[in-house]
This record gives sequence, structure tokens and C-alpha cells, in this order.
Amino acid sequence: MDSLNPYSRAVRDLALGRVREHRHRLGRLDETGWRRYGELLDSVFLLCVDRRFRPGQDHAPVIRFVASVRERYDHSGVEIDPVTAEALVQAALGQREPMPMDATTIAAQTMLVVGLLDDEGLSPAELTDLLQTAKLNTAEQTAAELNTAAELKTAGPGSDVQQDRPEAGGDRHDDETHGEAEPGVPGRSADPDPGAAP
Amino acid sequence: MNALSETYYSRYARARAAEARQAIERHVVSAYSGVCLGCGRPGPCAERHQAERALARFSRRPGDPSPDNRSHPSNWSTARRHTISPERRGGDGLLNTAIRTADGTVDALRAACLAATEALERANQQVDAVEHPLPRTAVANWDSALDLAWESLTMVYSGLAEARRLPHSEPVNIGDVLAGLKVARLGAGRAAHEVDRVRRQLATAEDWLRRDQDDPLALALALALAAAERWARAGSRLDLVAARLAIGSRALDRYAANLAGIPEPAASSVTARLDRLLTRARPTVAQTREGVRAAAGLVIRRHPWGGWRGFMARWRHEAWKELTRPWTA
Repeated sequence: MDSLNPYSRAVRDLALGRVREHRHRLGRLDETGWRRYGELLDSVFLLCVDRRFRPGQDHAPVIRFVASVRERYDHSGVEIDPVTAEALVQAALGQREPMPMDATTIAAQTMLVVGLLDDEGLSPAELTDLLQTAKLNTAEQTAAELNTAAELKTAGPGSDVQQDRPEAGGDRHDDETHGEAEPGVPGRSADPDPGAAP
Repeated sequence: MNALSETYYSRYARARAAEARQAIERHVVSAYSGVCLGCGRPGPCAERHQAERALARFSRRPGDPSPDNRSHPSNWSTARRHTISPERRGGDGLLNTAIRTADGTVDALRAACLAATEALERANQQVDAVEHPLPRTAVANWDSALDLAWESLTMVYSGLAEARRLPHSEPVNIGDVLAGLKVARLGAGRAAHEVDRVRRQLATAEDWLRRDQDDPLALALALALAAAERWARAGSRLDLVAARLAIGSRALDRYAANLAGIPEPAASSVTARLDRLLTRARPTVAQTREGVRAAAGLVIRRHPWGGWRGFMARWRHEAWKELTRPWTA
């Protein structure tokens, strides 16, 4: 049994084309689960982009890749916005500021992840390793933010540290369960594979 | 092991060996494209490796020595360490001469492999649809020769790696490794550039062929469409070639940077970039759900459900379309 969490398994199912299982797993997520899924998607996207593109390179390979994803998956030609998709890759490479996320960008990012993983042709074991790394990266970031939040709390509202806190990240600390890392996932220890049941 | 279990084991081993042979025959690596013909992945694929291991294991007779003690390449260095006498270690110069000599054959052997590849490709281009037995024999033999040549090159590489692990062998110079990696990286870049150019030319040729459909003969039209379809497939394959070249080059870049001890700038590290991504304005749960559903809808078009579930899903989809046709028309 692998040690992936339900979010990683959902990404794995999507990458392997098992859409039914993917939907089953996502159907069981609560609000916290959806947020974590979004964070994991960011992490997987960043890892995949980093494995494929070099920061600082010209835009041509990114444009070609986005075109190939649209050619493969978006037969209508309107469901993946090329400008959004290219901006997402450039942001992941650190060449521009990350854009705010909405349903369109989530769809584009998901399809880019599927395209990148499809191109890599990873075996199931390699895919599991990649998702494991992404999960660990997300957990590390969450832990780091928790530490920052704790420092902010102890420093008080008028301290200088408070002013450095990013505006956009504020909404990520509002629920208590969010920062309690992986053991906080409901039913994880009792049912390690919640989406496996039909 | 008693007689009964021995008989049972023999039967079991024969069955496993037969399965492994079938798998090996199915997963043949194309010498030209390097792709496994059984599963379409870059070869030799995992299934072939597994089948080879199974064949090696179950083809062994009960009296044969254990694989641990046999002269498997992975055990050469260990075995050698125990058998080389101290007197012979005076001949370390001989060892390094041997390594240098073998290393010098690599370029020539690679050139021979590439020449054989080109010869086979040119012959294939001319006699692909010819039914005469002589050209078919020639191409089959050259194909086999090419397989063997690439296999020899691989074995030279693995032998060199093993020899360099022997005690008293000269350590590999990191500067040479980095220079070799740089040359490989440049070669991959040139290949990617050429692949991209060929892809565009193929797309143009395909487009011209599809436009030229005013021939009244249905057969000619079908042939033209079939040819255009082949070129389109070749183009999508070339996309994958370019992608794999890019992924390999990136991995090589990171390895070379590690080897050279060049640290990644903190601002462009994966952690820093992930931090920037995670601290942007997050989508609401409804937006995430909607986006993920839209993406899953796109993926399912490429991987439609199979079996009775797929049949029922398609039937429901068609029924729903028929039901809503008066309102959507």
C-alpha cells in the first residue's frame, strides 16, 4: 500500500485517466479537503514544470507545450485559455507574478499537470514518488506558515512582522484544522483509501 | 525438496518461463525508434525487464549454482576484489590502460551504430512496400545487426562502469564528466531543434495533402487521407520526442549543477516558488470544484470509460441528447 493521501491519489487517478475514481475521491472531500487538494495541485504543477522547463529560458517551449496540451485535450479550442495557461507556467518558473486563481485557471492548471505527466510517461511507482515529493513540499510549506502564524500571534498586532505578512495568504490560516498537517484528515487512519470503494 | 514438490516446481517453473518468453517476444524494442513495440513506451520497458528476470530465474535448473555466485555483471567487482592477488595489483597501470582502451572504442562503436541505423533507414525507405524476399532478408538482417550493435555499445558502457569500480582504478575526472554532459546537452538541443523543424514541415505537408481532395476517385481520396493521418501521427510522436528531450536535458542540467557544486539561487528554488504560489489569492471551494470538474470532463474525452460502465454512460449521454434535442436545436 502506498503512503499517498486522498488528494495525491485523486491527482494520480486523473493522470492515469481513471476519471471515475478521481471523481469518487473528490466527491468525499470537505471544504478543508478541497483547499488541500488545491495546494497539492499547485505543488505537483510546480514540480512538473521544474522537471520540464528551465527558469530563464525563452517562451517558445512553453508556447509549444501549451499548444500541444490544447491539441490533445481541448478539441473545441475554447476550454483552455492559452494566455492563462502560459501565464501559469511562467509564474511557476518564477518569471512573472502568480495570477489569482479561479475556476478557469484551476481547469487550465489541472490540464497542464495532466499534460506534463503524460509527456513524462512515468511508471506508477515513479508517479507515486513524484506525488509523495509534492505532498512533502506542501506539508513543509504549511508547517512553515504555521510557524510564521505562531510568531505573529506571539509578536502582537502592532509588531513589524505583522506588516510583512502577505495579504493573499491571510485566508489560509482562518480555519484551525487547516494547519494540523496530515493527521487532521478525517478518517485517514481508519480508512486510508476512502475513494477505493465503488 | 521431495519428488512431488520437485515435479510441481518444475511444472510451475516451465509455465513461468514460457510466460516470460512470450512477454519478451511481445515487448521488442524497435532499433530505429527505441520504443517498445509492445506497449509504446521507451524501451526496454519495465515489463521486458521483469520478464527477463523471470526467465533468468525460472530457466535455472535445480543443480545450477545460485545467481549470487554466478558471474552476473553486478557481481563482477565484488568477485574481483576477492580474487585479485596483491602481486597482481602491481599491474594497476594495466587496469587503467584497459579502461582507457575500452573507453576509446566507444566513439567508434557509436559511429558504427549510427551508420548502421542510417543504412537500415535508407534501405527501409526504398524497399518498405516491396514483397521480394531478397530485400526483406537484407533489411531483417540489418535490423538484427543493429540491435546487436546497440547492445554491444550498452555492454561496453556497463563494463566500463564496473571496471571503474575496481580498486586502484583511476578516479573519474569531474571536469571530463561535465564536459561530456555539456556536449550531450548540446546534442539534445540540436536534436530538439531539428525535431521541431521536421514537425512543422510534416504539418505543412499534411495540410497540403488534405486540401488536395478534389480527386473524384474515392480510392485516391481514401489513400490521401490515410497518408495525411500517418503524417499527423508522426507529428504527434515528434512532439513527444521533443518533450522527452526537454525533460532529459533538464534532469541533466540539475545533475551537472549538483556535480559541479553550483547551488541553486534561493529566490528561484522550488521552495521559494512554491511559497509564492501558495500565498497568492486562493480560489473558493466552489471555484476549485468547478475547475476540477471541467478538467475531468476534458480528460474523460481522451480516456473514455470502457466496459459496461462506459457503454451505459455513453447510452445515457446519447439518450439525454435525444431528449433535449427539441430545446437545444
